[in-house]
Amino acid sequence: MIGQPAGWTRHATGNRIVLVPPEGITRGGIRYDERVAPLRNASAILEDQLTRETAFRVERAGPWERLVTVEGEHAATITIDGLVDGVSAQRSLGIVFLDDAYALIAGYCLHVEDFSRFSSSVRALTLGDCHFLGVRRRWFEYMAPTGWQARRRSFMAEWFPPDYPNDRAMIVVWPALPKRVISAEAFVAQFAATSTLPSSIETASNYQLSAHLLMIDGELRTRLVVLEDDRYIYPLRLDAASREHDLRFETCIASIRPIPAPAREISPALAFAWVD
Amino acid sequence: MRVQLPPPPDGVTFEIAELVPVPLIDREAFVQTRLAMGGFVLQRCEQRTSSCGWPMAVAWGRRGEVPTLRGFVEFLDVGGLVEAVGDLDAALAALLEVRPDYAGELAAVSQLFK
Repeated sequence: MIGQPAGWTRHATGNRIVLVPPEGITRGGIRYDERVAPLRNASAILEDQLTRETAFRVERAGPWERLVTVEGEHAATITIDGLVDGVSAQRSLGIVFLDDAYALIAGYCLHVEDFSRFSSSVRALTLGDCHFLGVRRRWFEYMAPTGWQARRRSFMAEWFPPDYPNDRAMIVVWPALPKRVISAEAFVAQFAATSTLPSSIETASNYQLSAHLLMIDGELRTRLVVLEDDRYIYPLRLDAASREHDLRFETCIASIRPIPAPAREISPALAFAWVD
Repeated sequence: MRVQLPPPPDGVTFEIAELVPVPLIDREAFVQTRLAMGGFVLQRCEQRTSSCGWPMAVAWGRRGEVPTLRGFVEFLDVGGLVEAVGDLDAALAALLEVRPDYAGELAAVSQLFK
């Protein structure tokens, strides 16, 4: 759900909304698709958008700006300068990444004097885009182990090294889970029945998250770590045949960023009237 | 996700099918069925392991009159068929270097911004 800048009009077609500036559609417009599936990364979305606009010739793109929306969702924007029939034009994209889809805010401006207004409107609309998904199971951010590949299993990621399975190691990253649903202690307790070692491993979080730990040594060495803040738990596990990957796992743990919190107040610049 | 192979050796052509889920039940029968698809006359089959440890069923046979090598490689819960014609010894050596390629599969926040 995006806002409607003052003076702009909205036109709804199916699930798409087009916002038109006061001067009319000949100046450009901003298109909003609330849910586009499947989820894709920013580069793939940009490439897809540029491919669809055959009349637009790219002259200069970027850079990407990473954002967090007022609801605490990950987002990104980019502005692309180009030409349409030899005349300067500009495209601005805003992407809000959801769990299995994304919202797309696509601005198209045909007058140089409006470029800044359109791109800043797309940025503001992106920041203020709301989906009311709230506190839920969702991906959290961490530094991926360099050179490893990830397999997605629903909300989980399984990272394995280049020489897997000869190199028997895997880092399993669960989604962040709401603490009101499951506590870190309860998550660890699911595995505690098979624990053979005391929880004494040292871990360090770069983001002041506290840690719960469990170590199990069997055929594989298992290290389960559950970090937590006041809203979420962040579980991940290393299964490995040797200590070779311990440092990689610790780096991954240290890099875990808490789920972004929603804004306490919405800035007046983002407080457009909502369009539903 | 897809099957990743080294560049085919001179005189070898690979054809790589899409990965499919491998069932937990009757797995061997499933693999044999896959190896025999498309008019492939199977003459010999061996269980091998790729250079980094992925299980693979390798079959020698013919498609029509053409000597053909097939491999069905399993990556955890999925598997894929690779067919090779040409120098089959060189094809097998390349086939044993097979790896999974998860490029393009989104599994983490950091990948969204790449």
